[in-house]
Amino acid sequence: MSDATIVSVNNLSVSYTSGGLKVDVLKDISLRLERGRTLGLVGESGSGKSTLASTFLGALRSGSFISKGTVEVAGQDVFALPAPALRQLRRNDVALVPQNAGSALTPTMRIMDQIAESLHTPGMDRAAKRARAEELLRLVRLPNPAQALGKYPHQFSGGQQQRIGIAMAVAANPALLVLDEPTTGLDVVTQAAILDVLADLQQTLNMSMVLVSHDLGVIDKMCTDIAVLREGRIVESGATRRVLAQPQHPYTQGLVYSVPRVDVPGIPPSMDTAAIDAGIQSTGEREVYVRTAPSGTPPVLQVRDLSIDYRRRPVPGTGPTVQGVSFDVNASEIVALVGESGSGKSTIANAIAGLQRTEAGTMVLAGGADLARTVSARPKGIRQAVQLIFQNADTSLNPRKTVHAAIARPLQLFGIKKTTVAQSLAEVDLPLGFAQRLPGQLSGGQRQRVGIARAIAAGPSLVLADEIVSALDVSVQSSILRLMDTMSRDKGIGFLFITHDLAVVRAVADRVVVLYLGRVVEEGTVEAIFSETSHPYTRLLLDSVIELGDDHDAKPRNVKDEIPAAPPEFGCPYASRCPLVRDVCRTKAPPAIRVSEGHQIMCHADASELSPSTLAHS
Amino acid sequence: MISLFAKRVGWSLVTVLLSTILVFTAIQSLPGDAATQILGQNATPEAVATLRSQLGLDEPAISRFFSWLGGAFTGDFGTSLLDGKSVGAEVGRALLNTSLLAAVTILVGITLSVVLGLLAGLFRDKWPDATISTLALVGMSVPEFVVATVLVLLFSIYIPIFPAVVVAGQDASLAELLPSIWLPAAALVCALSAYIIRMMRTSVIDVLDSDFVLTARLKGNSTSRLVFKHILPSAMLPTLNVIAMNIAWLIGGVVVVESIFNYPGIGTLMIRSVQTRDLPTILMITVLSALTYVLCNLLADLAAHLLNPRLRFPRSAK
Ligand SMILES: Nc1ncnc2c1ncn2[C@@H]1O[C@H](COP(=O)(O)OP(=O)(O)OP(=O)(O)O)[C@@H](O)[C@H]1O
Ligand code: SF4
Ligand SMILES: [Mg+2]
Repeated sequence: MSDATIVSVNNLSVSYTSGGLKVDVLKDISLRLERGRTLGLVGESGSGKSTLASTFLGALRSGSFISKGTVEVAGQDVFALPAPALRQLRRNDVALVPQNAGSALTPTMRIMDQIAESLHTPGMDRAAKRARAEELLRLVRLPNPAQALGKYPHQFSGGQQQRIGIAMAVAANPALLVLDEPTTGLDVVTQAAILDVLADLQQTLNMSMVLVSHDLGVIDKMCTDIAVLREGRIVESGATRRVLAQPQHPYTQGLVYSVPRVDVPGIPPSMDTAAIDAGIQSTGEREVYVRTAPSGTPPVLQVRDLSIDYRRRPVPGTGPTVQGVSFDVNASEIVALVGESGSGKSTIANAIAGLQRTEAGTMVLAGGADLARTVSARPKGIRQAVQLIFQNADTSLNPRKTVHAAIARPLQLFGIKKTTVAQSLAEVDLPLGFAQRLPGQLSGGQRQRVGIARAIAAGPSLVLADEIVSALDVSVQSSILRLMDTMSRDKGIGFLFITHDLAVVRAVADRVVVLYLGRVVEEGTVEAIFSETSHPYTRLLLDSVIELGDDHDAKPRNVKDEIPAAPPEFGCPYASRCPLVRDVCRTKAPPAIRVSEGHQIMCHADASELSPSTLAHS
Repeated sequence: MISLFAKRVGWSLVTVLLSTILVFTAIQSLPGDAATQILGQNATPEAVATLRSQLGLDEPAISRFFSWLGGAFTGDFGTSLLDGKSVGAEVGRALLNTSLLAAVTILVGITLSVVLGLLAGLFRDKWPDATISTLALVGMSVPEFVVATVLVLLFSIYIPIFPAVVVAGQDASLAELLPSIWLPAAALVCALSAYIIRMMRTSVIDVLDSDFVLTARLKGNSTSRLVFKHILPSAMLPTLNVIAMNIAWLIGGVVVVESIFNYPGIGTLMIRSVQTRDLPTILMITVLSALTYVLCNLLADLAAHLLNPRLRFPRSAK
């Protein structure tokens, strides 16, 4: 191994034993990373990305072992190192930013102490360490670094915790930084900001990086090299741009084609596993399915001036969590509710589902049924008409009840005789044999199908789908989106589809409601929202999306990603971040600008100012 | 925060009051009273009646309770029905002796069980864990009087290093008591430790599984730093309540163990007072036990507050 090589993996196999059988997690992996370069590890959930990445730190999940091969980092065979030398390697040469920084920071230790632990320069006193820690926090652009040092992890937001995790990892100036899904679960704006920080750090500190991600856009932006994993094997590797632009292996092709794009409407094709197993090359065409929006269907839900307040008493200068929200969902229509985390998407869905009390406003179903009361006080008919599908199918299905029992329950509860469990399963394309399985025996996508089948079985007119594809691999995302499309058309169900992923919105939504700090800032058809004229906040969201094949260097950098903790009491919620802000924005609620039929933007600025060029974020 | 603690203190006082009422009624409903117990079976009804009126037992129960309560509030717990001595002084002396026993037990017991639980968790499924867990299981299933008897057999009969029973009476000095404290303390430690060890072990295992311990390990931290800085504080949190509960339960164990070893503490006094229906003494002991119980729980909450930054710095304080 030459000096220029930082990582070299040679014929590595990692296994664990289950019921006396040896199961391979990684099979015969070989790869090499030169100093100063960035390697992206991609693949579906369970493909072994994290396992491979953690071997660079000499770590394995308990129960796993190296059955073959070696891993060399900075010229040292990590799994042959005695414990003290391995500790030395971890202190000085490689560092990890774990998947979820929130749970990776020790809850009982102050930030200062956690960073100081990684500062090993001999003769450094407490004051020097403090100064260095502060500098590190400034490097990752954490607001108020000096103050932050004395705080505990839970006092920071997810994005801030991620920054602290990165600061902690680079504290010892490692030669290699390993990042496991560093931005998964963060919203687009925070993601863009954190990736900027990483790119800058790599420049200043001259590090090599390994980035694990299932997001091909992120890999495309950040990585010089890529390795695609499937079932523990590398199926394709090389220079990122080339591999992603002209994928050679059918699996890579499938992955690339199944990514939804903000600039291309339509649902991408799902991955054809059978064809991939057979080694059949794709035709090289990405055939998307473009949904046609229903026209003239009556509303199934009308929300008017909805306000929800979590505060026990009014706090001067701040307004309620959700205020003045109005929108319709029509029959057969898919309406997307988008916004950063904390913008109140789930709060609104919960209010419609009757899980959250409202302060003011009305919510009315088709036929005039009022949704003012919470779920326990709602008549059966209303409970049947409004169904909720959760973000996490894992936790919303009872692990000890079979699929059959899960779907039979709404049928029983609402006395539905027409539909059978078998029919419901068929509707979501699950084989009948699945009825007797337990949720633990299903994949993520299959579990989400069961969740949909259960909701649909009740025969609802409105389905609230809260981030139902966010946790799924792109390869199964499309098929769930297709299912939603079919259900809306065949059964006339209106969907309120909650997501923070704009590409998914573009793929499947008919209309979009953009939410910021619990206020609607823009509403319109999907084409209108993705058109040139946008609310400044929508523009920020659109500009922050990182897509495969973008010209990443041309994108705005270092945007302000700090959302205020609470909405302001008066004026426009976006005033504290808006590049077009004027005095009136802080005192008066913005009026609706009607850009076109069914497209309105809440803003004090002139419509002509709301174009990409004037809104370029500095 | 302050108001929360004020509320807790308020409830604690209510708990103490309720337990005195409960004990008063219970003793009241037992057959016989102090007069019959003092004079014995063959006393004439006239003698009993005279003693009763001397002791004030002929007044209605309610008024007796309230006059006791009034005294108790001013710190006067009345006089013993048995010998007319001040209850406060007598119980105070016994309390001092018991406190000595309890202090030794708690100090040794908690340290020992936290350390053992930590070791068992760190060496999960290896021999140290197997040994410690088995011992804890034994400690849990064997009642303290058996443990006490075995200890006496072992350490005062086979290998006579400790006295089997305490010969010194109520007024024994510290020097007289000390040698005889170890066997009762050991018996109590056994009863106290088992649950704490189990809880500590489970919570150490949970914490070891967490992302933050993995991260701390991958930062190249030494094992000792890992254990004391990253694992121990988080693992202690769920254990605190179990510790508090076990210390509170210790009160019951004390009665049994003291009477076995004839140790001149609250437990022995309690048994004697119940036998003689000496209500003022019983009530004062009740107040003390109840106070100990609520105090333990309050202290556990306070400790949790100190250990858990989430409680000290709520998110909104950002
Ligand atoms: N010790 C073990 N016992 C049982 N299963 C294991 C063990 N180690 C790894 N696996 C399995 O090996 C596979 C690879 O796991 P790994 O965490 O590396 O996947 P990943 O690509 O990072 O997935 P994700 O995208 O969900 O994070 C998974 O199916 C995992 O459940
Ligand atoms: S210009 Fe004013 S009203 Fe429009 S988004 Fe900016 S701050 Fe809000
Ligand atoms: Mg992973």
